Amino acid sequence: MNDFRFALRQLRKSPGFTALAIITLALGIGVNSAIFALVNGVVLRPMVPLRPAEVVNIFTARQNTNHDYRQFSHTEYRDLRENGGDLFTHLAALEFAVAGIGRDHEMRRSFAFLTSENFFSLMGVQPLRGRFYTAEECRPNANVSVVVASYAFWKRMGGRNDFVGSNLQINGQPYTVIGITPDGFSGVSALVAPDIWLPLGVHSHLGSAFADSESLHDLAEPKNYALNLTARLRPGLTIETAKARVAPLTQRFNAIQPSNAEGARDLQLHEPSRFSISTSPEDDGPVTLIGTLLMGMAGAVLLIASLNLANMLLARGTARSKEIALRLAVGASRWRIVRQLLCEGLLLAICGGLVGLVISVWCNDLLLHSLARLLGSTSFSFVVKLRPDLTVLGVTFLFCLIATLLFSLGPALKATRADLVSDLKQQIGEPARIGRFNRFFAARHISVMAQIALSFMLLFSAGLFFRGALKASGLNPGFVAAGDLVTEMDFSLIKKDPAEARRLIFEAVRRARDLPGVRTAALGTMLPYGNFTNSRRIMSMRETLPSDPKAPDPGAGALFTATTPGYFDAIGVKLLRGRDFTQAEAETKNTPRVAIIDDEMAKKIFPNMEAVGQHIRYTQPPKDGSPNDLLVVGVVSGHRHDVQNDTLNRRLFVPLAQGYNGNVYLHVRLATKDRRAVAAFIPTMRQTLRTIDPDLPILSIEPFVDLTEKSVGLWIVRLGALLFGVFGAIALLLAVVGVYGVKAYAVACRTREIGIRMALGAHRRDIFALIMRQGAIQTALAVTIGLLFSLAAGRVLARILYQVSPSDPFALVISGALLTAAAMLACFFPARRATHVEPLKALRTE
Amino acid sequence: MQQMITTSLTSNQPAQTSATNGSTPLIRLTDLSKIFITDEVETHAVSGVHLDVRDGEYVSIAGPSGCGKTTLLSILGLLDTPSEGSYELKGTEVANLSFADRARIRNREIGFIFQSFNLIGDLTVYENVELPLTYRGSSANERKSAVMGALERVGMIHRARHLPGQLSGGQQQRVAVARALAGKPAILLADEPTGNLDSRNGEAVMDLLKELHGAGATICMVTHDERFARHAERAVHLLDGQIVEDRLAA
Repeated sequence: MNDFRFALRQLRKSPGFTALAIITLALGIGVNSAIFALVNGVVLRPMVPLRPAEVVNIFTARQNTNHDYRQFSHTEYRDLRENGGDLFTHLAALEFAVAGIGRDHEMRRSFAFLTSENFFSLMGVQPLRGRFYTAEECRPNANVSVVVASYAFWKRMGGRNDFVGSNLQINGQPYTVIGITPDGFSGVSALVAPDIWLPLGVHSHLGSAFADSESLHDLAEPKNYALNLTARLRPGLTIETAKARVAPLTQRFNAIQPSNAEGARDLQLHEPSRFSISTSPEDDGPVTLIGTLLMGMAGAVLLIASLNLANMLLARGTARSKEIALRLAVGASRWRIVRQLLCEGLLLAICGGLVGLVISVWCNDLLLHSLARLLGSTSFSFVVKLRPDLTVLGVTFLFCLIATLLFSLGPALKATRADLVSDLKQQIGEPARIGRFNRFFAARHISVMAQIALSFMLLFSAGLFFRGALKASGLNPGFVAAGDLVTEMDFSLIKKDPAEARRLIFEAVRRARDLPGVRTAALGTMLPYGNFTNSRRIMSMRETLPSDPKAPDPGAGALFTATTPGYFDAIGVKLLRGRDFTQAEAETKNTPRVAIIDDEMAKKIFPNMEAVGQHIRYTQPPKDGSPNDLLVVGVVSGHRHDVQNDTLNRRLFVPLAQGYNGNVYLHVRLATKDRRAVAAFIPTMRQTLRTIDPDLPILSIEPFVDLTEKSVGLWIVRLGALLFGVFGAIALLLAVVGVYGVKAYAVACRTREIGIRMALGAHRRDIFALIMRQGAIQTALAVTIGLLFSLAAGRVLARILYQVSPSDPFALVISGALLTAAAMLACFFPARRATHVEPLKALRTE
Repeated sequence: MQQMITTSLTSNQPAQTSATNGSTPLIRLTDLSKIFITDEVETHAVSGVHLDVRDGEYVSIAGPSGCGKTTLLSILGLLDTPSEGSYELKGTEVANLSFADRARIRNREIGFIFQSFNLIGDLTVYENVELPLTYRGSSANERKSAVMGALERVGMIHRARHLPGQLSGGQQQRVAVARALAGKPAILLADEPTGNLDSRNGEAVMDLLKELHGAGATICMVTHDERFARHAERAVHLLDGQIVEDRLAA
C-alpha cells in the first residue's frame, strides 16, 4: 500500500509526464478494450445460454455432395425428433419469417421466428415473463394466435407491465402476447434477433419470408420443406462423434422420402453459424478471422503505446537515477525498488485503462449508432451488446497488467542497475557506453524503431482497407442507381389475396409510368445491394442429374428475381439478346414458363452456344408442382448484388406471376439523375400509390443511390477502413510522439557532445545534419523492417481485402512516405533545438 | 623566439605588452569586459582587461577560483563574446562576429584543450582527432596525414582505433592535445589541462605542452596550480576580473 501511496505522490509531482503517459495508455488500452468488447459481443459471447457446445444445426443435401440443400418438411422433422434419441436430447424446428406488426400506417415489418415448443428448452431459456407456447399450439394448422415477444421488442413497445396478455396486430390479425424472452436472447444469431416468436401452428397464417410460393401454407403437406432443424446433442457426444453415428438416422430419413424424390440425401450436422441465418451451412471463418486480425492490430497499438511509455520511463529513470541510487545506497534491495517502479507503472496503467474504457464505450456507442442507422430500415433487432461486462472489464485489467509489464519492467530493471558513485554525483548525459553502434541500438532507439515498424504495418493495413473502400464506392455495379426511385412493398404483411396483390402491383407500375418526369417503371422481387438474397440452382434441360453422387454438379446457383416487363430498363441493365417478358407472362401464372438469364449464367450453363431458345430447369423442382421447364427468352448484362464478392453473381429472372412472394421493389426511373430531384419525387410517388389503395403496404420510398449506400457489404468495407484507419492514425501519432520524445531526450543527453563539436568549429548546419542523419538512418531501418511486417500482414489480410493486392504498391509507398515524413518532422524540432545549444553552457555541463 | 616584454600591474592601466620587435600581436585585448546580469545583479567577470599575446608565447593565466580566468579563456576561444572592449586576433577584430564566423575561426585558428578532455565517447581516438578537420572540409587524405601527424606528436598513434573509454586520463588528455594540434591552429587554449589528472600524468601533459611550445606553438593556459603555471614563460595573474600581475617567468 505504501508503494502505491508513494507512486501516487511521484505521479502527482510530474503532472505533465503523468498526463502524457495516461493519454498514451488510454489510447492503447482503449483501442484494445473497444475491439475486445466488439469481438466479445460478436464472436465470443455464447449465443446459446446453456452448454452451447452441445447445440448443432441439421441440414440435408444431396448424398455425398455439398449442394442442393433444402429445408425439412414437418413430417421429416417429426420423424427425426421421434427417432433421433440416440444422438439428441432435443430436436427443434424453426422457420424464418417476416411479419407486419401494428395497424395501417404504423405497421412495422419485423423479423419473426416460428418455432416448435421445445426450441426454448433446447436453448436453455426461461420466459422473463409469462410462458412459452405449448406443443398443442405448435401442431400444424393449430392456428392458435399467441405470440412471444422479444425483450427488445417489449422495451420498444414501452415495457408495460401488462404487455403479457395484451393483443398485437400481426399481419392484420390479433395475437395474444403470452410471454417475453430474456434480455439478449436471439436464438440462432449473434447479431440479430427476431422481434417476435410464434408457434409453428400459425404457419399458414403467415407465409414465410424465405419461401416464394403463395401456396403450400399447409405445414402438414409432405413436400412443404419450410423448417430448419436445430438439436442438442446427448451429453458426452461431440459434433464429431455424432457425425460418425448419424448414418442410421440418415437411412431412416431416406426411407420416409416420397416415392418420386430425386436421389438419396445426407443428413449433415454443423455448428450453428453466429452471423448468418441461412438454410444451408455457413462458414464463420472470415468473421472470426476479421476478429482475430482486429485484436492483432489493436495489440500492435498497445505494443506501440507501451514501447512509447517505456521510452518515457527510461528517460525518467535516468532523471531519477540519483534518487534511486540514494535508496540503494541506504540499503533498499533491488527488488524493493523494482516493485516501487512497477507500482508506479501499474497505477499509470490503471488510470490509462479507466480513461481507455471510457473511450472504448464512447467509440462502441458510435459504432452501434452507425449500425442502428444502417439497420434502421430493416426488420431486424440488433442484439450485439458492446457495453463492458465483467469479461470486458477483466480483459481490460489484463491489458493494463500486460502494458505495465511491457512498459515498466525493462526501465525498472535498467534504472536499478545503478552505478552508485556516478549516479550519486548526478552525472547527466548518456551513460558510459562504448561506441556509436551501441548508441544507435540503445534500448530507446530500438524501441522507437519498433514503434515505427509497427506503425508502418498498421498504416499499410489501413491503406489497403481504404483502397478497398474507395474501390467499393467507385465500383461499377452493372446497374444504374442514379435516377432510380425505389419503393419497397410487402403484400405478405397485409394478407392480400395474391391475385388482388398482383392487380395492385401492376396498377402501381402503370400509374408510376404515367407520371410526368418518369421514363419507365417496373418491379422486381429482389433488390441489388439489398440485404436479402433469394437463390435457386438451375441446369440445362439437355443435362441430367448424374447417377454417380460424386460426379460434378451440372447446375449453377443463381440469384432469383421475379420481374415485370421493363425491369431491366428501369434498373439500367442491358438486354443483350432475345426479348423481355411480356405483360401477359408477368400477369398470368399459367402461361408457358419462360426465363431470362444474365450472360454470366449463359456462359456457365450454355458454353459455346446461344442460350436464347434453350430450356432450363431447377435442380429442386418447384414445391407447388408447376412445370419444371423454362424457355430462355433473353440474356441480360451481369450486375452485382453486393460489393464483397469478387465475381458477378449469376442471375435468373422469371415473370412476376411465376415467382411472386409478396415482397416487391418498384423501380421508377426518372428523367433526371440528380439525387435531390429524385428524393423530391418521393411525396408524388407516395401520393400516387395511396390513391391506388390507401392500405398499400409501403415500407419505404428512397432513391436507389441511398439504398446502395446502406448496403451492409459497403458498410463493412468502410468500417474496416475506418477501424484500421483509426489504428493507423493512433499508431502514427504515438510513433511521432515517440520519435520526438526520444530525439529530444537524445539531444538533451548529447548537449555536451554538441558543445564540444561546436567548440571545435562545427556549424549549426553540421549539428542539424548530425541529428537528422541519425534519425533518417533509424527511420530507414525501421521502415525496412516495417515493410517486411506489412507484407506479412498483407498476406494475412488478403482473405478479407476487397479487390486490393495484399502488397499494393500504392498503399506501401503512401504509408511509407507518410511515416517517414512524420518521423523526420519529429526529428526536425529536436535537431533545430540542438543547433541553438550554447557551446559554452554545454561544456559546463558535467 | 622569446620576446622581451614590459608589464603594467594595474588593470585600469593599459597592460599591453610591447614587443621588442614591434610586430602585430597574435591576440590583442583592449579594455575588455564581460558582465553577467542575473536578477538585476551585475557581475563583472572580466573588467577592463588589456592583454597582448604574441606569436610563439606560452602564457599562463592564474588566479583564485571565480577570478574570471575561464571567462577570459572562453572569450579568447570565441566561445563567448565580450560585453565591452575590443578583441583582435591576427589583427582582425573578432569581438562581435556572427555565430557562423566565430565557428569558422574557432575551427581554423584555435585549438582547445579542456580540463575534462571533452573527447566524444562514441568516436575512436582517430575520429576524435579528425573531428575539427571534418568541419573544415579537408579532404580525406589531408585529414589522415594531419591526424596521424598529431597523434605521432603526442605519442598516441598506437591507440588510434581505441575509444576514449578504453584510455587512461593522461592518454585521453594527450588525445585532446592531438585534436587541438591537428588543425594547426594559431593558438592553443588550455583550460586547467591537468585538473582531472594525477600528478604524474599532469606532469607528462605539461611536458608535452612545453615540448609543443618549444616547437613554436603559441599557448595560453588557465591554471590555478602554481607548479604548472611555472611551466609557462609568462604569467598573468587575475583577481576579481582584473589583471593584477603580468610578468615573465623566472
